[in-house]
Amino acid sequence: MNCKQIQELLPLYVGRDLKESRVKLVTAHVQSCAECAGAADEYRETRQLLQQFAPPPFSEAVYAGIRQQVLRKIGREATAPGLARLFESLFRPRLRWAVATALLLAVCVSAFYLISNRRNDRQVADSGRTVDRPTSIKESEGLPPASTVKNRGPVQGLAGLTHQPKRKRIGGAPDRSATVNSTDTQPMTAQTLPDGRSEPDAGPAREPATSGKTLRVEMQTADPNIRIIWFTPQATKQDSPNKFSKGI
Amino acid sequence: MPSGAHEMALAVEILLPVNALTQTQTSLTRLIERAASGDTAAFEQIMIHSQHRVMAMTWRILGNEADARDASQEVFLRVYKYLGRFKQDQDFFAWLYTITVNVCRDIAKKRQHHSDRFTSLAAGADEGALAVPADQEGAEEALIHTQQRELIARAMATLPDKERASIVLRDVEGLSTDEVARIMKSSSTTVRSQISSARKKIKIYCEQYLSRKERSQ
Repeated sequence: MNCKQIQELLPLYVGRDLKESRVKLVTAHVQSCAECAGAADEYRETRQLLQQFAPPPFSEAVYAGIRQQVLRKIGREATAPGLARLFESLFRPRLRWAVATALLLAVCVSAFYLISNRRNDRQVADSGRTVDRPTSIKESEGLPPASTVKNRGPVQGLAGLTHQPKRKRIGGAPDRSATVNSTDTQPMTAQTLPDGRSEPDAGPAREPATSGKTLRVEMQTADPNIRIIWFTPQATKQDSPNKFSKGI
Repeated sequence: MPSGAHEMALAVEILLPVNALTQTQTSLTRLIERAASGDTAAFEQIMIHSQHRVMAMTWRILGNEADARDASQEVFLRVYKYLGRFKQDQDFFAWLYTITVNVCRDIAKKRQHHSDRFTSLAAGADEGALAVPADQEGAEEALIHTQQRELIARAMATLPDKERASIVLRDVEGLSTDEVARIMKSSSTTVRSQISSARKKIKIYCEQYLSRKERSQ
């Protein structure tokens, strides 16, 4: 080792903070090098000064003052009003609470995002079905148009069929209409008014059915492979002839 | 003197400090237990027992009496607050030093004027604010001692907080490097590096001061 390397180790050497192997190397070098030996002596002197680095003597009054202050503060905290202590403890920053709150917020935000996305998907799927399907289904099953059915009077006979345990969907579309159009689960209890029109039954199924622009009515026949799906324009207040559709 | 009496005297001399130490530790443990359960009288005894160490250490790290007093108060308040977390198998004074170092660090951060209050390494050497000791025959030893203390205090003030705390614990308090590392919550290697750097800086500061002194004479 050269002098430069040794002098880097001297601060630790004088304080015995070096490993034994290095101590031997430095000792051997210092014994043979006057310059490094002088530097080592200077470090030793500085260290001696450090060891004598004592504060000025403080009077007993200083210590007594510190103790009194501390005890006073402790006493004040112990006798602090309960409400103030409660507030202090509530609003004291705590890492655990902060992390828990952040996690809860993250969960809430992600749940809200997922739910709103799912709703959008359903709306898109339903509107797609509304546009694409009605004519072909009705025609393929050979059923009369909606206007004809409307004039037939009560359709209670079909209502019970809506509770078939398993239904086969035409076209293999995902079975999500049950939650959107509650007509699947509600018995269709439309009644005929004296003037020959049907009066819809009041019930919770009404609101989702009339909320869209096109009304969708599904009825399951005895044949599990056949389902009747009606699409009619949404009823307005002026459209009294469409009351039957509105009610289902 | 009969040889038996001499042996007995030796035995007493050796045994007394050990007993005294054990008694002190036992009484301290009891005091800690009582203080942890809210006994302020016991806590006052703990303060009396440790106030000199705390005050000396805070003064060495912070460099002045006012800050040292504030720091000591805060140290004891924290000790009282966290006494319930202290484990009996721990070394009380190592725990106390940890709190002291943390409090000093917090106070040094709060008081931004800390760095302004002390002169930097170069500025201090140029200023020559420290009075050059008069090399008169028969100068009082106390004066020399005071001047040496001021010199070291100024040199210490030029160190970064962590280096200052490490060198105080290692060279002044006489703790081992591993103990310093535990107190500083750092590795032994880091502490060695801090100590090495601090010793170098102090030596350079002292050299600059002494060379100024020689030039002025």
